[in-house]
Amino acid sequence: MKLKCASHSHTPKIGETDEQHKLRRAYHLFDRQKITQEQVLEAQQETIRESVEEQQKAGVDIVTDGQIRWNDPLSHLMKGLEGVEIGGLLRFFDTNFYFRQPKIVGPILRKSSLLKDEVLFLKKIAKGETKAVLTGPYTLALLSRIETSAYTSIEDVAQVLTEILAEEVKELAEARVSHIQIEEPGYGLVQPHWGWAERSMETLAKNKGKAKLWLTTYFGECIPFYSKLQTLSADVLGLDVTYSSKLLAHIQKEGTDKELALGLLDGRNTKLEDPKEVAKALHSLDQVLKNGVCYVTTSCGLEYLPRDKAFKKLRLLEDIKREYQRGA
Amino acid sequence: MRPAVDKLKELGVKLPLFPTTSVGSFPKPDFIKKARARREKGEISEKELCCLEEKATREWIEFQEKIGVDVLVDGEMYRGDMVAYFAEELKGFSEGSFVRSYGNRYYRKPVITGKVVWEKPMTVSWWKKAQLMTKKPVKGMLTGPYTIMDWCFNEYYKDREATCMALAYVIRKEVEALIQAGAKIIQVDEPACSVRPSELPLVIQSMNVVTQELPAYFVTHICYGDFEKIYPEMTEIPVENFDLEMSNSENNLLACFRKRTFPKDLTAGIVDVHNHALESQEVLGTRLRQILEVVPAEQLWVDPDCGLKTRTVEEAKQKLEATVRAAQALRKAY
Repeated sequence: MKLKCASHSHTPKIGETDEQHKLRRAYHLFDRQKITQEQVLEAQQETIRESVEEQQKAGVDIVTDGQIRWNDPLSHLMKGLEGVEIGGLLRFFDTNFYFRQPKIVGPILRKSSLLKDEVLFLKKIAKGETKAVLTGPYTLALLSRIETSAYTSIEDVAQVLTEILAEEVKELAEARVSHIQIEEPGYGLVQPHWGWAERSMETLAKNKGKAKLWLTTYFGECIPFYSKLQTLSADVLGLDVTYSSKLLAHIQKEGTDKELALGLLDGRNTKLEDPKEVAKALHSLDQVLKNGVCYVTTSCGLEYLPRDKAFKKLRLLEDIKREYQRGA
Repeated sequence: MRPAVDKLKELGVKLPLFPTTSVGSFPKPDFIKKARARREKGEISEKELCCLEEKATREWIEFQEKIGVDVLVDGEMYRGDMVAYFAEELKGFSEGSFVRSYGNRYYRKPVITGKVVWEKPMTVSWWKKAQLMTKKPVKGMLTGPYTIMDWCFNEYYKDREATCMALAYVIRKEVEALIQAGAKIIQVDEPACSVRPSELPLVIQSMNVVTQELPAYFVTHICYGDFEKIYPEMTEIPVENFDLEMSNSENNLLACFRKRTFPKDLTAGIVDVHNHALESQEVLGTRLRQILEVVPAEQLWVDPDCGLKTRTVEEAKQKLEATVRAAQALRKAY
């Protein structure tokens, strides 16, 4: 099989040096009304450039913008919608990272593009394949608080968000991003009604144009619903391999109709994996993936790691690819 | 465990109805921030920094006394982060780099690179200094083993359980040292305890190691979690008092307590520590009355949602004062 190294999603916004703290400083100064919104944007763009450069320097084939402008996976998208207010802090899954919980207070409407500008900027600065990341409609709905009679269930909210995100997918595809990743870690928290999930992914897939559509889960065991994921409309399934030692054997047994993006490196611990061991594990899927493409990536975004360690994990992806090819 | 009120009585601690306290940290005044930066550059000595930290601690103790807080804290002028501080003091950790917590807040996430060992008391001298500054009780303030485990990278122990239990024995030693020094109320924070509901037994097991058969009134502070998934089982954590953020979630936790009575003392956070806006007395009064609909008065303590270090000194003072005023007003009404 052919391996490609892919960035998962986000990358650290700051590092150890003064220079690497510029975005943090910019937010701090903006909060105290000492700089303008435009100056914040400049700091964000400079940090995005650095993130993309680091990914490319590490040898990653598919880069993201590091989600540098995102405060968290929910509020960044939801704050731009009518009928949504952003509320208090809540822990994001089992991490020690916190998101601002969206409150659904009325009918949800999309007022304007949520991510188009960000993707256009990424396209402008990145060489090669690019990936845009969207938190999926189910996860957005599941982690929001419904405070209106306009919707009676999580799936009601998720349905409206599916339609809104389908517009986003369309715009991202028109911006000619190579890959669009729909993140649904919520599937592992409370499984959706799979019939609904099928329709939701179909709606998103209709608008993907020439882009490859990824459906990615993480932070949990996906073996119980692996067969369901195979039925959903996505070109690539992104799976977190670090939560279960049995997942690769399960894939080997069950096979796959889709390309896989395997989160083989732990995006939440600094300990560096042995690329030989990881490459060996990958070879166990040779028969299953045959001549297809397999994307090697981290188990989740890299903002849970310090910047230097995140970079080392990215470098490891390339090492794994090399080891794999050596053993082929 | 014995009823909380008996334990306080046995310990000789007398408190009014609706005791007021704080979660732990206060913002560092500018002179401390500057001094810490200068210390990092080697421009001042450790002793000089320590003198300034003592000065800031005294100012916070005096402020708490002035506004009528009942159970005081030292304000943690000498600590950076609630986990990193212990990682710096214990053997077995390496200093970590910056990781984002939320918004624009970052902390240095430590790395466990060897066997964790308690070599000397970590908080006792500061507790003693603070207690000498006031006649009111000062809480001993520690971070719990589960949270330290969850908030560090681990490159040494084989799994989370082994890491957590190793840390439990280490934290117990610090608790024993605090008790030896005279601390009667000790808070062991476990904000990470709702992270993985399946690991709640590990939180309970490790806290049992920390508190079992020790003569102190134990509090645990837990915040920003999905409590619905671990309530009521979480009340089996062996402490007398649960300090919970209530205002951030607009008292939503009360829905849990309505289904199953809260069986222990509750320190209710009534002001949001992540918001610049100061809540009115009317809002705080309403929050407290709502809580009293489901929690008996004699079980209720009052404080801010979480550590106030995220606010400016002025905001923190205003929020703490508002908290105390609301509790005092309620006390008068009873």
